[in-house]
Amino acid sequence: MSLDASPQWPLSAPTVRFMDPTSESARIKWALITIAVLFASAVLALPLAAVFTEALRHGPTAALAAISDPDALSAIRLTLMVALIAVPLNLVFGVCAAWAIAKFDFAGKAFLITLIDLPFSVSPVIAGLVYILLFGTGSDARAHIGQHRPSDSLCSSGRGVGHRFRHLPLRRTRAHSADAGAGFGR
Amino acid sequence: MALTVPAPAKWRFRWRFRQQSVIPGFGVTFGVTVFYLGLVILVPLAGLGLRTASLGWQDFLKLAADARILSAIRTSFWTAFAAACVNAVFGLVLAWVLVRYRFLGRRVIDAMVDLPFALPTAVAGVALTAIYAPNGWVGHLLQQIGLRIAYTPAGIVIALIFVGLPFVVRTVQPVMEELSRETEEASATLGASRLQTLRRVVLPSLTPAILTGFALAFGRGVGEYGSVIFIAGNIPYVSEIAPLLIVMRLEEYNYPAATAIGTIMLLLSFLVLLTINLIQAWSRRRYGHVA
Repeated sequence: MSLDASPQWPLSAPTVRFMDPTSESARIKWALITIAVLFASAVLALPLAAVFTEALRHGPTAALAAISDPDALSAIRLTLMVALIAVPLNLVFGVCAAWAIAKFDFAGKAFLITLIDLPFSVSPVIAGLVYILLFGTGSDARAHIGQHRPSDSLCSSGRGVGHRFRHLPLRRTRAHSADAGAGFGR
Repeated sequence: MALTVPAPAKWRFRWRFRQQSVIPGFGVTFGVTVFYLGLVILVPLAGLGLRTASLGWQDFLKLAADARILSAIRTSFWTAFAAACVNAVFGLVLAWVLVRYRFLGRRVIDAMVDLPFALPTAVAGVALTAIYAPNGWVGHLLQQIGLRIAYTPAGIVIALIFVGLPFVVRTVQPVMEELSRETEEASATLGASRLQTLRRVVLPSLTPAILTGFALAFGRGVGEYGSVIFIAGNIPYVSEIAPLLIVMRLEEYNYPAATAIGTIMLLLSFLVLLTINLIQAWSRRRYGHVA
């Protein structure tokens, strides 16, 4: 092989642009960007646009009236209240779990991580089912808790429990990625 | 004082629960974690197991072998699989573009990826139905070429793609950011073409993350309820998903049937996740621990 066979060298062949060996050609780069932007628009932006169009279809006054409906207000209040109970609990748990997992090595760590990830893979419907089986009328736990908590699975504490179940792994993931990103005092 | 230097393997003849460390707080954090997990996850799931066990094999099999249940479970799993495949491919492209390239609107797209996490699933379902219904924005265009998305299994796949996308992107993205350019440069200096570098150096390091993202998207897809029921049309034997069937049985106070469907779904998703974890362990052995 002769030396002339390397036109990449920018000085010997000024018409050939130096290409970063860890990057793709401009054509591929823009093709990938186009694919990503189109996919994101179709999958993410379109539904978001649809939400707002649907909400404002009958004008902003109709939307405001729908929000200020007593039923809607009460539902929003319940949702916020339940989130206010569940999120701080999960925050405490998430920080504890992240600390225990990131800072220490112990037996059964992989098993623990799998358990924490479980709510991701368990259907919210199944989560609801198990709480109904547990706390619903005629269930196992109610016999022990006694009659002090009427229709537990329907009242807000039941929803709080359900919320906790859903958001649990997310909390850990976020804590974990914050840990990885910032070094977290390492 | 305990040193952080780990003892050589042959010295560690005594099995210990945890490696020595000078960092404090193991007892408290581990205790809180296990207590909370037990309360929120283990006790409820044990309750489900107990209920199923009290059914007995005969009843359980009789309930489980119902054609409608089997069809619903099949629909749930194949639509989740298809959506997770689409998300694995496009999520990878999206993560790559977000990490490696700088272009107008990158931050907007980066922020938008979290949208399915933030948007209530029922709202997403209504919005998707509004788009893909025969009189919707996309639906009426597809109607003209004779395609139907809403109220068919294809609609379920669309909803699950929406719900699962952030799982893939947000799992792959941090790993991609951690990739060292040096290995790619080394690969290039050794004469590999860009395609070879991507295929033989970059992709193997991303494989565990892609598989994890796939597994999370799949698991979420199998159990998804809120966004699917609006767009699926819920036609028995065609576009009825297993979680919907659970809810229907619960509303009929038919707890044994609901429990049976729930248990089958749990077992199947556990098997799928186990398979993916095994593939991951294999890929880690083969390519070294990366993620």
